[in-house]
Amino acid sequence: MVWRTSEPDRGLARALAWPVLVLGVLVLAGWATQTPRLVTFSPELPAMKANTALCLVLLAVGVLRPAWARPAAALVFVISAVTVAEWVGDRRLGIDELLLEDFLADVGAPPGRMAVATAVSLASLALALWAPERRHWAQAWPLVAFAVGYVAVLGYAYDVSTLYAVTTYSTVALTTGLALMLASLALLAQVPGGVLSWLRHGGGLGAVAARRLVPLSLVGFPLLGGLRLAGEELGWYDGRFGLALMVMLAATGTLTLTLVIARRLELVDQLRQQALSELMNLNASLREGRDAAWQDALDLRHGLEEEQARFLRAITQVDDHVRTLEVLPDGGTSVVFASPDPQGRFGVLDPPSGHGEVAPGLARVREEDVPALRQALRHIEVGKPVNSEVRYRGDDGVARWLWLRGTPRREGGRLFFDAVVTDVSERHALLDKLSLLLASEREQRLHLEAVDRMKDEFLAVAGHELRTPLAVIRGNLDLVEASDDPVEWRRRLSTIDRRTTGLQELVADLFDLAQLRTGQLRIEPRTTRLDHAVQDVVDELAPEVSDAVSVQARLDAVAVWCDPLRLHQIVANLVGNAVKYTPPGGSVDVEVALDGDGHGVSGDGRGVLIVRDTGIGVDEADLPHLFDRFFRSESAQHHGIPGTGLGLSITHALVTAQGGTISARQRDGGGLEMRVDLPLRPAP
Amino acid sequence: MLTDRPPTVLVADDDLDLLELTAHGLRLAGLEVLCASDGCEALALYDEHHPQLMLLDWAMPGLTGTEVCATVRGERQDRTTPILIASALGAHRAREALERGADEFLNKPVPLRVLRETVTRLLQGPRS
Repeated sequence: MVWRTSEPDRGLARALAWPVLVLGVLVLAGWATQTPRLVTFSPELPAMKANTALCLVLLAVGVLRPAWARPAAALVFVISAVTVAEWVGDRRLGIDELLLEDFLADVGAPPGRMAVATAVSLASLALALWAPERRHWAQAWPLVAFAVGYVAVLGYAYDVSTLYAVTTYSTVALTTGLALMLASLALLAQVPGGVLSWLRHGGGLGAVAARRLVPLSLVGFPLLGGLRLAGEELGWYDGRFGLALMVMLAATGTLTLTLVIARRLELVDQLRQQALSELMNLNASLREGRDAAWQDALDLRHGLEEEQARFLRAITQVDDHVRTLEVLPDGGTSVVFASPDPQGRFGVLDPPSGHGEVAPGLARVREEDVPALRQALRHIEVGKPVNSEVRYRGDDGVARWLWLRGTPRREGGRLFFDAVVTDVSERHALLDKLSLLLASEREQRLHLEAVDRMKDEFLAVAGHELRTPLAVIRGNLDLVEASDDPVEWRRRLSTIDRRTTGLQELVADLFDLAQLRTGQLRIEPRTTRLDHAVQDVVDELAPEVSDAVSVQARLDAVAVWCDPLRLHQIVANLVGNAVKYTPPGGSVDVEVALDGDGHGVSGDGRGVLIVRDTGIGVDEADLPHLFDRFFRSESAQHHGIPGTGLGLSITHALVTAQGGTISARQRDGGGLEMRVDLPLRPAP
Repeated sequence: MLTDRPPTVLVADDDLDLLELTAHGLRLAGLEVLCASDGCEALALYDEHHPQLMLLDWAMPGLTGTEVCATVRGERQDRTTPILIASALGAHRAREALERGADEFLNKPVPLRVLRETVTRLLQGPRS
């Protein structure tokens, strides 16, 4: 363990204090029990005074129990200071036999009074005990006591009474001298950062050298002095020779030891120097290496920055947004790199970056595309490639088609995603236009197909309509030819005549249609009575209408602006249709009325013709096609009712050509209601 | 199925002129002829007289010829009485007529000679 010399060597202090305490207690016990052996230890030696013993005990306790150090120091200082004052003033101040009687009072000396040297030593020790933390103070005062004790002990050793007896009556006891040495060493030991602590535990070269030299000076020299005295007393040599011998031994011994120690210290120092220079070399080379590495790193960094700048310049020119994400363990993403987008290519001037950002954000994506984006995000989380297109709304409010594609990349246990985003709005606009064109083309094709089918149907129906009368005419002609009966001739010729008329009408219809289609039909409007036209048609139809269908007419007198021939055609067609599609038991109801103010200047009145039947009607889905050319309702075909599919088409064209309107609706109870509105006067 | 009485043939056509012509032609061939001017009437006459052959026009108001045919074959469970369907709508309708139970399809106008031959053949031979 490394000894920190700033700490007190409390263990040594305690080890030194204990003998002092024991000695003091023994002496006090001797005084208390009046046992001379305990206070002197040897009959020839002076005794340790009771006050001295008390002070030593107090000092020892102060060292052993730091909490009691100050009271103990104060007490010791008072006792010793008063004693010194007694000596100086040559008066008794009543402290000498403070506790116990001096039953061994020396002749001439005041009984119980400790020696003046002892008193001064104890006072100095008290001062040291008062403030052990003040290093210089606490180390200077014990030296006084140590010197006094040392001198006294040497005096006893060499039998020089002047060394321990300061005055004739003031003698320091041998035990007192030893105790003073021990106590001063104990006090030195408890000084934090003190010289004794350093001497014992210091690891430096100085401490090592001092540890070698101190025993020589403290023990070696007194020993040498003792040997010299012993030699003199045995008569081996006189005093001067003895002194020379002692000096010689002391000088050579000290010299030898000093040289050995110095030499060793120097060797150690050389080693240290060498190590230091090596360390410096090492440091220098390390610094060099570091500088070189630093330079390399700087170069590399500059190179990288240059490369990055070049890359960014290039990527800015490209129409794509490039982005690298790191997929974090929690499934979130962090943008590692995002190419700059100064043009705000996607309507975002500052592309989002940072943890948790996704590109582009869900909130900006069209609702229909959210599932696609969610799927892409799932792919990113699990490291699967992404390829999808979404509509993304930029800061400018414009929605763009963004094509997102990305590939996962694993690097050092981390998952990265390299993504490219491209604006493909133009492509989508073209696609949309194309699909619109395709749709309209398809619609047109379907329409043409429908027209084609209607033409086929028309041809079939027209064929049927043409063939049937022809078959009747042909059959009757055959029978006329084979018969001799003039009555039968007349009957069959009449049939032939009627069917020929029908054929003529059909051909006229077809001709009208052809003319209407080419816009060649001649129309000559004039004021015409609508109610008269209806009455004529009803009269004409009467012979053909079976008794099972009733025809009723409610006719107001209404004059419309119309070509009379065409008006007749219109009415005949509508009423004829109603009769044709009404099964037996049904009824046809014809109404003519004036709608609005027929006589006002505004001229917004209309003549209205309404034809209602209780017939088979048409399906709701067929209503809009009712006036189409060639159109035949499903229900009419189902019921096998022949027709060219031209009647209503012709009627519609005729009404429209004369500024009128025609409409059809289903009746609640079944059957159809046709309504024709015709102008009352020519259009302005 | 030759008996003393001549076979009865039911003819249905909404064109009364044609109906008269056909009936006249078949009567000249010695057949008993029942006339109907629409599908409903034809079905009523069938139920009443059970003719040995039916000649039906396709396009008639009420019930069409094929509908009458299907009713006789289905509802009336008559699979033996020969049924002829004639139409001026075109030969392409033949398949549908045969599928619905007719024995023959005739494209109008039908020459009287052809009509007589077909009717006689169907009356004499068993149904194939």
